[in-house]
Amino acid sequence: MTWRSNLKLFIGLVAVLALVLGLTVIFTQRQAQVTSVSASIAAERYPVGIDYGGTLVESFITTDDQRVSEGDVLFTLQSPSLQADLAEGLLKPETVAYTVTEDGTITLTAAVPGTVRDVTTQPGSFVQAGQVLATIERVGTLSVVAQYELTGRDYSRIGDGAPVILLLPNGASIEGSVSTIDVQTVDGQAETTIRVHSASLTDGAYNGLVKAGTPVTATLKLSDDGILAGAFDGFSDFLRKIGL
Amino acid sequence: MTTLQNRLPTTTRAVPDLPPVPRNTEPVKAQSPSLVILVMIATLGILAYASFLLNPVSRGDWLPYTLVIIAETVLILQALLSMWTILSASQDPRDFAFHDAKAKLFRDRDILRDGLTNDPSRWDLYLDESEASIDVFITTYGEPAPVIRKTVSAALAMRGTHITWVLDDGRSDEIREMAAELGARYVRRLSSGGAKAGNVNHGLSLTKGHFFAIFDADFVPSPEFLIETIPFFSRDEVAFVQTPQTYGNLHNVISRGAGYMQSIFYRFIQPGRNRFNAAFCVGTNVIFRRAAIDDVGGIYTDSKSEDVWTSLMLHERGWHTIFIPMTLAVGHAPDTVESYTKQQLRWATGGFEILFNHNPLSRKRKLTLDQRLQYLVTASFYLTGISPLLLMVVPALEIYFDLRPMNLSTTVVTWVLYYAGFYVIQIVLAFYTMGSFRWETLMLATVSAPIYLAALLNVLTGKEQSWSATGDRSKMSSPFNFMIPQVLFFVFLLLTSFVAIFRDIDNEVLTLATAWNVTNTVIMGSFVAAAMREHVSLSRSHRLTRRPITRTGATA
Repeated sequence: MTWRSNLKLFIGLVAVLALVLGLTVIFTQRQAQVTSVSASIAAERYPVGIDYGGTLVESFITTDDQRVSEGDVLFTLQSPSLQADLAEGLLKPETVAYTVTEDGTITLTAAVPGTVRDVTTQPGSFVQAGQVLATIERVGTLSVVAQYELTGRDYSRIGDGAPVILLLPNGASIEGSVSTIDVQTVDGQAETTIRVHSASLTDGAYNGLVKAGTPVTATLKLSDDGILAGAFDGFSDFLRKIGL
Repeated sequence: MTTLQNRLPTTTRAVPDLPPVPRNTEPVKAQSPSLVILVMIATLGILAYASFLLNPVSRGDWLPYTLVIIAETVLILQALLSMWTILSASQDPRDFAFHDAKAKLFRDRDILRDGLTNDPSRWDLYLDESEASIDVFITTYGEPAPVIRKTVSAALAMRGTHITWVLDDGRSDEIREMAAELGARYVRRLSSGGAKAGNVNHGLSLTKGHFFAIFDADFVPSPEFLIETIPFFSRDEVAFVQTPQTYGNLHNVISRGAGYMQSIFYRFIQPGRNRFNAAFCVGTNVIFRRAAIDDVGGIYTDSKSEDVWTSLMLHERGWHTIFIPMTLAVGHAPDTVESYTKQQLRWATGGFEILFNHNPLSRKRKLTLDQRLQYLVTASFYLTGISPLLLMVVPALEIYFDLRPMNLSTTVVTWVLYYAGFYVIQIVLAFYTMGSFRWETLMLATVSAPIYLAALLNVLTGKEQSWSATGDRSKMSSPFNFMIPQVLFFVFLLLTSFVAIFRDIDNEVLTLATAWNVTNTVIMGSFVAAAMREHVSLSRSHRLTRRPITRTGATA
């Protein structure tokens, strides 16, 4: 072989090795994480309801997703059956979970601070006994619920409080960690539901994107114990040592 | 309809510019019914595979999907067109005029009168009552003397009067002496412009025969060559008669692969093209009518694939060409990586030149629709050689990036079924037509992709491959000088296979990507191994020749 082709071959080999090394780093990194099938932000939900049928007199919910504090008035209703029960002495006003005036007007208030969602009725409409009129999503209880399809081996690689990267629809990412894991096995795949907590999940952050129902992509970091993991760790240690 | 009337020969002789022979006088031998049904099944397989690939339901990630679609589209179109050509190869070009002319070729009485009964190479050939003068050109360019000697001797011994010329671009005094000794004329030109085409054109300026045959230095013609080809020229519109390249040296992986790759072409594709009057010249084992070449201004010199280009020029001028699938010369298939690479690069460059610089579909060309399609197939044929490169990247994309050409709901079984529908039937077809299937062909086709890619880039950028111009065949160099891309690709595939296997062990599931990648590695590796064997035997022979020299040097 001519020295020129030897040189070409040598440079080419170095380039191929570098390429494979780079690709392997990407590959092991991907191997050490798993992306959610579906994930969205969820909050603790408190339904607002009444166990007597009646007519909705007034609604104090004026805007969609209205913020309320504890004790804020939400709805007033009138219930003939409640009135009758009170008149017959079957109930005492102080025992029920809502305030009832002498003329039988019921006032429903917010039990927890939060955001009112899913208002189901309008003033003037009849309310069935046991109907949920609205739901309050309690402030400060946002978390992400993410579904994963994992192999048995991947499932065993979820560490305690494993880090999760949450990617919002606008591309911003939030760091979180695993709080609870639920699993059921379907066709040998562990269908895993993971609840992720993060300090950065504050209501209305990121221009209001952080709220219950927002879809996110949750990337779960697995503890790396693959055959190539050692080599990869060694390589990243090396990079760190030389200051990259 | 085979009435007596249209079985009768046509006696009218047309001028070269008009298509003269009506189709219904073609002597037709039917294709074997098994071949027809196999081709039909293969076509169905191809169509099923195409519909599977194009079905939007099975589409996967766009990058590998695009690669697969581009590669397979080229392969599928070429396969369909070549099967169409194969089915068309039912025409025997020998018509009544041929047989009539052949019967009247020699004049026995003259031969007896001149006492030449035992010297057939001096029997005068007669065509249409007049003597046919023939020159035989042997183009040489540094080939070993024994090889040239064999060719020249065989050319001299061909039956029928002819003059044999050695057109030596290698400028070797040894060859000159040998030509003188054997009785052939020797020509050496001052410049070497235009390579082989220039060499032949120079030869034509010195000769004046009505017909001239061309043989490469390593193609040994059979004594019957002239007798089997000259009678075709009784039809005035015939420009050349081409015979196949047959190889006598299928002794290693490369020559077997290259040789069998060609045999499909010569046994099925060229006869099919003949039907469309689109059979083209392959540079050797061919005999031309001088008037036709004069009509197109000599052999085409602006391309290294002067043979295809000259044929194209002739077809555009309305000339007819003949291919006969009859072995009339036996030569050497390229048996080293170097010669194979150079040959393929030359052919692929010629094809791409036509595709990009002289589009056969353009309105400017005076070609029939059949000829346009056939030249398009020729011009785009080497794109099929680039497809394996794209396909070999696909498993790596899945291994490193989890990008799949087909979506996950496509099971391996579905994939394999459709894939088999295309490829396995192609192999069965090859097995039926050729009597055997050579893995070497598949291997060479796969590993040649970098050569074709280089040809494509050279044509697109108008660059000349530097080493393809050097023709010193006496000094052999290591095969690895010509296959650095293949070696690098092999290393890449090998390392990727390791990563893939580790990945599958990790994930406890064997993936199709791994299986493909390992297969590709083995294919690439067998080529590197063949090159390694060549390298070792080469350096061994180098050592053997060098040792006595150093010894004499020491004593001196």
